[in-house]
Amino acid sequence: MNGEFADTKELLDALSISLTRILKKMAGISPLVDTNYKAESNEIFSRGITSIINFSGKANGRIMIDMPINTALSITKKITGNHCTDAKNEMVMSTVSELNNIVAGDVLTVINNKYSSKLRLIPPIVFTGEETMICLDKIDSESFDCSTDFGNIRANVALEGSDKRNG
Amino acid sequence: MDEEYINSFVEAVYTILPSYGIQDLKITSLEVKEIMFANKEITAVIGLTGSTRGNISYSFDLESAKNFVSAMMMGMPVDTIDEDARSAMAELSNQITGRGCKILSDNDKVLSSEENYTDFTTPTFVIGKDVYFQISTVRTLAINVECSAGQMQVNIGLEM
Repeated sequence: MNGEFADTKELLDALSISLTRILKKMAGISPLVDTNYKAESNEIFSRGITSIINFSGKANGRIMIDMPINTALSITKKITGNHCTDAKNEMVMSTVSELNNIVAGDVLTVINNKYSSKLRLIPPIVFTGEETMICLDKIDSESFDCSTDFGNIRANVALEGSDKRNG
Repeated sequence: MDEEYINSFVEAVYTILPSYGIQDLKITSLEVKEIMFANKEITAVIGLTGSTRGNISYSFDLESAKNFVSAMMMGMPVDTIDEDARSAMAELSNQITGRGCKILSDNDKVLSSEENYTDFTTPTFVIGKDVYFQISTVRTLAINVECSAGQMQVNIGLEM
């Protein structure tokens, strides 16, 4: 496996499986994943509350989970039992951040086991704001939507040099 | 994190910015924050992994960002923060982070042997209004810098 590494699609596949499983386990939600992955531009507008986890090792990249504020509030209530009304509430921010942390950890475990890639996660950041745009220049990224009863969650993977790896 | 971490990044700011002709630097305040709140429009976040884990962010208001980029481009007017401008800001963030970590490494605060390396990620930019951040769950040290180009806030959230 030396020299070989996953492409963005393989990371997205692992992410969709992990996100579905963990949402079901943690929040009792059965989401539906749209596996028609969409290429994103360098500039992505946040839907409300966004968590980003970068990783590095054999490859550098980013796993991002992005959802409307109402979706985050509902998921927080399902997971923690707390009824929050403000996206800036620490419980809401921490829930989205931890969800991303668990999912990204799961995805990297799958990839590391397959490719011995020693990918390491960087602690997540989470943010909310008005008309917020996320830019990761010169790195291609792809997304899928994960629909739940509480709204759609966007999951995004950016992999540095993925265009070269994919030929 | 102790004061050596702050001092390393203060020294890095004082080394890198003057290399672009920004001389009149002043540290207006140092803060310890449980959660980071960046009320500036543009933030570049760099992740660190390896023997040192965490995030370092650099926040600017729009006008300051244009002035910093202009200074980096030998005074060329900068009207918008487009991809080229972000590239310059990414370079600035990388240089300050790299220098700060090198100073820490020289002082044996960051291990940099082959087995215990520290690796950076490409900066991610978050641009918006009233952006409320939570960087990890660790305490954040904030360095507020002021100069003729404007203001910059460096937030350091490293797991130690």
